[in-house]
Formats: sequence, C-alpha cells, structure tokens
Amino acid sequence: MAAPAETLVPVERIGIQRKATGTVAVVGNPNAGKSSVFNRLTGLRQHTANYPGVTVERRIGRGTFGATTLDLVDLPGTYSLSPTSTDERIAVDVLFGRVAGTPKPDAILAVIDSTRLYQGLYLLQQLVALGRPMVVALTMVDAAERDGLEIDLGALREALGGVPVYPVVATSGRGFAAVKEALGNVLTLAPPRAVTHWPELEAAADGLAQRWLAGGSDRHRVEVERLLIDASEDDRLAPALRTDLKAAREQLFGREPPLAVEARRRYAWVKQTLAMVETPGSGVATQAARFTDWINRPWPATALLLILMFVVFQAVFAWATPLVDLIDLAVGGLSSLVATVLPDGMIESFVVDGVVAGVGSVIVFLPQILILFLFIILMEDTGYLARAAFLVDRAMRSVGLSGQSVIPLLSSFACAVPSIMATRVIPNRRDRIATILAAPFMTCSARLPVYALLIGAFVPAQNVGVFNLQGVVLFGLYGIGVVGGVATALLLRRSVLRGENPTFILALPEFRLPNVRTVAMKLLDRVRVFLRRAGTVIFAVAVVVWVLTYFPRSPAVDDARAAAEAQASATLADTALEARLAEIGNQAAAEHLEQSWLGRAGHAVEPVFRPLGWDWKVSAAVIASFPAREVVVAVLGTIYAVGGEADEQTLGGQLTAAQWPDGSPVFTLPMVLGLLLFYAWCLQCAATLAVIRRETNSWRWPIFAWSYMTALGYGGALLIYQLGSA
Amino acid sequence: MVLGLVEGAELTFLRRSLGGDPLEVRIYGAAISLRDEQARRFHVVPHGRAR
Repeated sequence: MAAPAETLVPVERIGIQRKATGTVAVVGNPNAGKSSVFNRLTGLRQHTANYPGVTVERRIGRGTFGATTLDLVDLPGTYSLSPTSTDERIAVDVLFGRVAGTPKPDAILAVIDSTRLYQGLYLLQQLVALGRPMVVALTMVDAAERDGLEIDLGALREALGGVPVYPVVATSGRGFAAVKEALGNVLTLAPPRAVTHWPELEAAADGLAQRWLAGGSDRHRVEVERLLIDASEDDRLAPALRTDLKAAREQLFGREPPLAVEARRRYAWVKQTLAMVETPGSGVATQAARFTDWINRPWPATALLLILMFVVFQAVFAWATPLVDLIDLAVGGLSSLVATVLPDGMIESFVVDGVVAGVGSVIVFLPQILILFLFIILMEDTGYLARAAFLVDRAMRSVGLSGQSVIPLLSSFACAVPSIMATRVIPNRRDRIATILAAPFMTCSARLPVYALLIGAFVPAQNVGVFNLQGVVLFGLYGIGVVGGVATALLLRRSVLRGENPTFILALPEFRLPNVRTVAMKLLDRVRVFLRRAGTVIFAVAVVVWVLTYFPRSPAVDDARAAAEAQASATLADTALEARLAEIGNQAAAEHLEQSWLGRAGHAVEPVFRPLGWDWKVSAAVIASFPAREVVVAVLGTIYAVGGEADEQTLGGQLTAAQWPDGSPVFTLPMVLGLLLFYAWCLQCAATLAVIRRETNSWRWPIFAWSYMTALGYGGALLIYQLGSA
Repeated sequence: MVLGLVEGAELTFLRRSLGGDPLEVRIYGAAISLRDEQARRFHVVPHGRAR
C-alpha cells in the first residue's frame, strides 16, 4: 500500500516522474560549487538533456531527503535575475516556470560561495523576493576559515527574511546532513518574510500586475519587477503590456539604464548587509596565497600555460597511442574473425568494411577524446580556464577573438569536436561563433596520416640549414592552419559578426581542487554526447562510403581475377604464389573501385579538379575523405592497388610512380603541395559539422563553414599548382 | 555591474595581464578581470594600501 502522504499529493505537483513530490531549483553564481552540491545531493540519479531550442544543458537529479523525494534542477550559474546570456536567461525562465517540460520549482536551494558573499548577496536579495520556500547552502567555508573570514549566520538569516543558511564544504561533504534535513522539510517551509528594499519598484510593479490582472494576464508582482528592469523580454509580450512597461520605466529610471539603477540600489543593500554579517580575514598572506600571487603574474603564468599545453598534447598523442593501437588490433582481429566465419561476398564485405570498420573508426577516436575532455574539464573545474583567458585576452582580441577562445582553439590541434563543445564557456555569442569557425582550421590528429604519407613520399629528407625539410613543411602546414583560422576569425568579426563586446567582465575564481565525482560525471556526459552526436555520424558515413565503393559490382572483374588466380596456382608455388595472389586481389579491388560509384564520381569530377593537377584517382580519394579525412590513406591504398592496409612506403612508392596517360608524373611537387594545402584548409569531417550544427543550433553555420573552407582549400591548391607548374 | 562595480564599491588593484591589459581587481573578496576600455569608464579615488 502506498504511504498516505504520497496519495495526498496534488496531481499538478507531480513532475515528469512519478515519485518526486516537488521540484527544487538549485541556483547560484557561476563557480560557487553548485554542480558539486547538486551531485552530492542527487548522486547518480540524474539525467541530462538540452533545454528546447538552445544548447544549454538541463540537469535534473532525484534525491530522497527523509520521507520526501525531490527533483532537483541544476540551473546554469547566474549573477542576477536580469539575464545577460542565454545560460542566465534559461535560469531565470525556469525559476518563473516559463520553460516547457520543466515544472516551475516549488522551492529554491541557493548555493552561495562564502568567500564571495558580495556577489552572492546580490543574487540572494532577488531570490528572496520570489517568495518561495528557500534554503541557502554556503559553500567553501573551509576556504573562508583559512582566510580568517567570519560570517554571522544568524545575522545573515535575519537579513534574508528568515531563510535558513547552512555552511557546507562540497569536496568533503561537511554540513550536508543539515542541508538534506532542511530539504526534507522544504516544501512545507514558510517562504521568506517580505523585505522591502526598493519601494518605488515594488509599488510600480504592484500597480501594473493588478491592472493586467483585469485584462486577464496573471503575472506575479516579482515577475513584473523583472520585466520592468529587463527590457530584453519586451518582444515576447503583448503590445499593450509593452506600452505600460515603457511608461512605468520612464518614471522609475528616467534616462538611466534600468540595469545600472538596479545594481546601484541593490548593491547599496549588499554593502550594508555585508558590513553586518561578515568580518573580513586578517589578510595575512599564507604560503599558498603567495604562490598563487606569483604564478598569476604575467611571465610565470605564460610559462605555466605553455607547460600545461605541452602536457596536454603529450597526453593526447603519447598516452593515447597504446590504447589506439590496442583498439586497432582488436578491430583488425574482429575483422579477420568475421571474414573467416562469413562466406566471401557482399555480406562479408559489408560487415567487415562497413560495420566493423565503421564502429572501429568511432572508438578509435575515444582515447584521444577522453583525454582531451578530461583536461578541459579539469581546467574548467579548477578555475584555470578563466586564468588562461585573462592572460591571453589582449593577444586573442587582436585577432578578433577573446581570451576564452584560447583553450578551445588549442584543443582543436588534437580534435575539433571536443574543442567546439568546449566553446560553451565563451559568453559572447559572436566570439563563440568566430571561435567555432576558426577551430576546424587547426591541424587535428586526423590530418597527420595524410601529411605523413605525402611529405614522406615527395618532400626530400634533406637539411635546410639545421632544419630537416620534411619537418619544415610539416611545421608550415600547422602554421597555414593557424593563419587560415585567425584570418577567418578576423574576417568574420569585421563582417557578419561585427560588433563590440558589450561588457566583458570576467570573474576570476580562486584556484581550487577539482571534485573527482563532478569531473567523472562531466566526463561521462561529454563522452555520451560525442558518441551520440559525432559517433552516429561517423558510423553512418563509414557505411555510406562502403556502399559507394562496393556498388555496382562488375562480374567481369571477378571473372578476370578467377582466371588470373587459376593461372598463378598452376605455375607458381609457396611464397611466390602467395605474393602473386595478393597482387591479383589488390588489382581486382582497384578495378572494382574504378567501376564503383565512387570511382565513377572520381571520373565525373576530374574536370573540376584537373586545374589542381589531380587525376580521377586522387579526385575519388578526395571525395571519399569529405565525410572523414582520415580514410583517404586507405582509399588511396585501394585505388593504387596496394590494398587498404598498405604501409606508407609501399603506397608512397606507388604514388611516385603514378602517371598521366602521356607518361608525365601525376604527383609533381606543386601538385603535392596544393593537395597538402587542400587538406589543411578543407573541412572534411562530418562529425565536426554535426557538432557545429548542435552547438550553433542552426544549419547555417555548418553549411557556411563547409562551403567557405572548401572554396578556400580549392583556391589555395589551384594557386599553388598553377604558379608552380607555370 | 551585476558583479558589483557600482558607486561606492571598494576595489583593490591586483595586477595587469600580459601586455598590460586586462586588469585584475579584487572587489570584496572576489577577483574580476576588466579590460582597459571598460576600466577607463570608472572614476577611482585612491584609498591607500588596502588589505
């Protein structure tokens, strides 16, 4: 039998899931430790999705506190209820119950950093005004104690109209028993006493609310207060309400921006309250504080950034390699196993070259992406990201980006997918889009196999001064990627993304140790997103490429192969026979490929790529690499009849020998350099496009990025080949 | 503004970043970063060596 308390819950109180009896919004300033508190209270019982229409993550978790089960909604961090970014707008919309699919919270859990009470109180004052049951978790009290900072909890509670305040330490779990107990009774907790801070505003809002009520628009006084202050909401309202608001605003604020008036009014109260509840620390610099101070100076900080990035790259490329090799081995083993079990033919080819290879090409990325995500999350959670942004802000601004672009851009030297997901930390939309479009230019790890193949085969390994020419060319390709990205960002910020940053003021959190649980959960989350968004695309692309290279089959090729094999078996034996059979097999694969749709497409577009010096084989390989550039080496291997698994030397030799019908070499130096530039600038990665689509929430940017980068790559290759061959 | 850079607020200058811009200031315990062009818009009265 169900407990009576449960059967008495009104139906509308039941959230999206059955058993929770109410919803509690977890609200707080950015970096106040909100997510750690949320994780401590909900454990693993949480799920993540995006809010409808935006890329802001909605995290809902369930927790049982005494006899009460509650759904906790982890809202994006915000400094006030007057939103200045999409994240903050979502937080405010959820609080007012304006988001479809998310119930209006019954109560509020405010998470406030005790070392930054100044900004915390500003938000608290606005939250108290909502008049809903509320509990405050005062975080990082250990840091406050270390600094000798004292907070009078009784006085704070009094100033907040009786809202209970609980000191906690999220990393150790200290104080959470009391918070859990308070949450158990939160639904029946008396809402805070109304404290009047700003009588003029309240009177104006009251008047409007009553007037609108007569017209059938039921809006709470506090919501009207927000509408009065925040004009950006206006276009969502009926014209009559808009006129009312405009008139009331003029009376209240005169010519001053409402937000400035609000800040002045509310911070006056904050200063007063702060003087009452907080006794500042003695200010004695500890060893740790002195070290932080030193490491934050420009030059030590630059050194630290370089060292950190070096470690990240080392990790991505060196630590991931054994895992990648292991995955390659496992996929290879699985392929040969399947090949022995299944009979030769289409099904076998589909399973081996389509499905297994497709899954393999997804998971082969996982080690690198996991490591990269881990570092990005660690930098976010320790507060380092803001430090790095502060350090390079001026330099990045000179190329049309902002300091916050630096970590995403550096990460895209490994892979653009996690780096584009990491651009969420950039609050300014224009900066964010410019960063997203610059990221695919950075030389990612998938470009390296192509570079290695072409440089190894065609750039002489001689020394230029003290440098090796091959190394110089590789370095040049990295440089060309950076130049392309930076030029793109500059161009965009001067044209479609023109505009100043309204107020770029960045909070610089103190360095803090990351919480293992929070980091693990974030990591899991992002990997899930990668697998779902990018993984499905990569897999689908692998299957499509298989279809294009497999069909249509020509029986003539198979007949010729059978005849050749029969003849070889009759005349040769042992190793000579084996070699001959492999040769015949590769030859047949190459002929099949020429007959396939991909081969025909290569022939069809050859005229387009002819001015770049490419024959149909190169054209076909380039077409095949548009969905995922790393497949080009395997496709070239098949086309040049050395097999998809051929090593660099064999394939390189085959490429060197490739000729036009008139006997002149296909791979001349200008052609190779053009081809390299093409790969440096082209966006040949369906996963990146899928992620750009997701993060910008429109098809416009991925389509633009693809067309623009393809045009740039084509133009560059054309220029080099024509100039070089002239 | 929402960070509390309002009339009457007490600031402690901490440092300049690489190339002299942006600035880092402390405002009642919280460090924030300000770009030069924004910092110029404030009128600041020196107050001696703060804590």
